[in-house]
Amino acid sequence: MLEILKLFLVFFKIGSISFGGGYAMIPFLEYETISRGWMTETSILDMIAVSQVTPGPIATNMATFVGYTNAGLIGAIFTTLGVTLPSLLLVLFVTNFILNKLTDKIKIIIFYGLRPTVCSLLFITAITIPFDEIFGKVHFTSVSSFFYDTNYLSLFLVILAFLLIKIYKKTIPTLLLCGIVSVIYNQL
Amino acid sequence: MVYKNKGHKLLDLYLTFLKIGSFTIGGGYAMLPIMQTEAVDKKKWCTEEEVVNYITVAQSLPGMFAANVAGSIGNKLGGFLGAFLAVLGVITPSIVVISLFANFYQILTEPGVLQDFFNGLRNGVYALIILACLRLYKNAVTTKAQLILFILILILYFLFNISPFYLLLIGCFSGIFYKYIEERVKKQC
Repeated sequence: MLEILKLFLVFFKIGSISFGGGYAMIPFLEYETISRGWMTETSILDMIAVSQVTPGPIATNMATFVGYTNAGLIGAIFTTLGVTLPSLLLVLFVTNFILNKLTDKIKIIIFYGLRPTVCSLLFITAITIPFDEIFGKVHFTSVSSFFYDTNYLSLFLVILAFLLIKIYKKTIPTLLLCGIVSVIYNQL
Repeated sequence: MVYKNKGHKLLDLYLTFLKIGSFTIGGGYAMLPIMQTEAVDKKKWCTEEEVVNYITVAQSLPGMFAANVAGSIGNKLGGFLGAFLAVLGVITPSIVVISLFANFYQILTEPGVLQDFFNGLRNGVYALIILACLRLYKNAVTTKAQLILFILILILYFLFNISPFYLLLIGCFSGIFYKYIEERVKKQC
């Protein structure tokens, strides 16, 4: 029961602080769940992949996953409600106020610093997670071990996926291709 | 559509947003087009302009984008209960589908073809995150002051390991402070 309450509150916190939706909430999710042992970097990445092919926003999918794996279906319902409750409260009490009262100028001022910060946090996630995977965790011991641990398949797939998605804008086929290449490489 | 009573209307609201939630694959923004066709064109619950307003506000509020817009439409139609049911409709598919997935997740962590597949898939996700960051960067960092803040946040994170929540507050207030100074300087000139 206490665990469910904790899950609910943490996801309420994540929901009330995530600006910009989708990927922008990942740094906060990482910070809150990995230290508590609720998720690993690997499971976060898997959930992003799965969110590409399942219904629902990434944030609710993450919340459901954490809730389910840690406290079953009841946990899943509470975490998902937790992450959406801030939206609901804001809609009920703040949206109309903003539409009627707040001028564009105030909005610009608030967002002037907020946007680069959110971007900066996502940038940290975007470089630290792939770095560990591609270059291994022990990359600073010596120069030779740095090269020894490099996962060239990962490096190749990240660059390939980046180019394919950027040029052809086809997310799901690209992800599937990455998976298939990895299977072929490892099974042969 | 003519409703027999309030309950009927609320049920339709829930089912419509359940449909919207079920058919949008790949995150919040993917929901917008279908939300517009369902709520504006088919059900005539609100005007195109109102939806645009809701989207603008949702972009400047924390919380989940899709839930914010769905809640706004629900609120207009049926107050608190309407907003609650609209949001519930949007998140129901997540709860069902991801709970099922979580049930089978254990299999993925066992060595084998499936694990290899997901190992490869993750590399594609790195590319997705990097691309999302670049796209955000274009809109988020447009002036020199914002670039300095962007770098400052990186330094604060890597050197002092400050929690993202405090960094968000630092970023927001330094932005307000900068704008305030800028305004003062402009007035003096």
